[in-house]
Amino acid sequence: MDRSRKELLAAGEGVYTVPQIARILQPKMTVYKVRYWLHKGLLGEPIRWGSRGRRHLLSFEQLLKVRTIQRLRDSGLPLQRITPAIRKLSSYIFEHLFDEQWYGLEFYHSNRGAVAVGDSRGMVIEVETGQRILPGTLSGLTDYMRKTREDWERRETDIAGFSRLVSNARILGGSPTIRGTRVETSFVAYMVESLGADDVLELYPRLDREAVEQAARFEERAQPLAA
Amino acid sequence: MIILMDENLSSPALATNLNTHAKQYGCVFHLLPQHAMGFDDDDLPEVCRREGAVALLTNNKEDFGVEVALYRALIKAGVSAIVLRLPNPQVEKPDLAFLTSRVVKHLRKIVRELENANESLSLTVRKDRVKVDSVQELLRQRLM
Repeated sequence: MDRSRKELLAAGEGVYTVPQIARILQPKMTVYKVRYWLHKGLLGEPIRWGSRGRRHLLSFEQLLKVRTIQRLRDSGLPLQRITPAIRKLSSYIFEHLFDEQWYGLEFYHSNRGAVAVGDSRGMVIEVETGQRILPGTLSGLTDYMRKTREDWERRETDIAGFSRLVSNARILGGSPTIRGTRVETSFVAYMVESLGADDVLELYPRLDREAVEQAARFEERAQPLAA
Repeated sequence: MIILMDENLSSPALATNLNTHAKQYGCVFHLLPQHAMGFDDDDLPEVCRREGAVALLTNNKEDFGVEVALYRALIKAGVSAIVLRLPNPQVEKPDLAFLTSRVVKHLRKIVRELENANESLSLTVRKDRVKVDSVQELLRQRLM
């Protein structure tokens, strides 16, 4: 058995296809963006490279990398700066983010849009110029990294706009489920489409209407991406 | 012989219906216990051991990652899966009557296969037949 298969079989790391990552990180994420970043090397080696008829397979860690890159792009920094900055930052950030020992990362932002990053031990890495630039902390980004670290440790991420749904890498390989259950959103949506929400709730008294309706809405929105 | 119903199919009404017929074939269907809701894939062996289950009743999975995770967990647990293929809702509705009759129709064969199993099997329940596969082999095919 080669290394990639061993990794695929490793417990609790999740197994995600590109469309599935785009689905979980909707509405901002697209299949195109995930593929682009994967091929640019920003996400590291996937569990398995796809080829004709075989999909790329990515891990939960890579799902969080995709989300983090999107967050860096959303941080208000000019796009022409953030693209090279992401390249430089990603290896440093990801090395820290998924390390056994976590030192909270802090981000700094100069007047001209340069980025510096340091960890809670006080070490600061300056990107682009190599100079020390500490005029203002990007607190939103710092908080985001802390949250991402928490998600990494519990192997679970929320799904934006759907408070009752999650992707947990340890449950059904990370397929979106109703929080606290192993009930897949795709299954619930199928049953709702077939029988209607009232009959589904009668059949499954452990579920509640809000969770069932969120699952159905999520799958409805996600369908074009999954196709 | 105990068959555990995975959370997607853990409907009390379905369990009641199935158990009306199951006794004559020497099996019983158990709902997933409340305390085990949302268990990790890696906890499947422990959940099955506590219930004394030899198989998990579940539905067909369309997602690659779900299939792989399920196969991996089944092999680790040493249990089989009874995979109920859900119909095209435009053709048939997957209501209580449908789910019950689809399983009961093939229950004799399902029990026989499980009794003779010496590895984890996937018993895919279709309209007219039950397709029997080695889970190990299915996993190998998915990872090729």
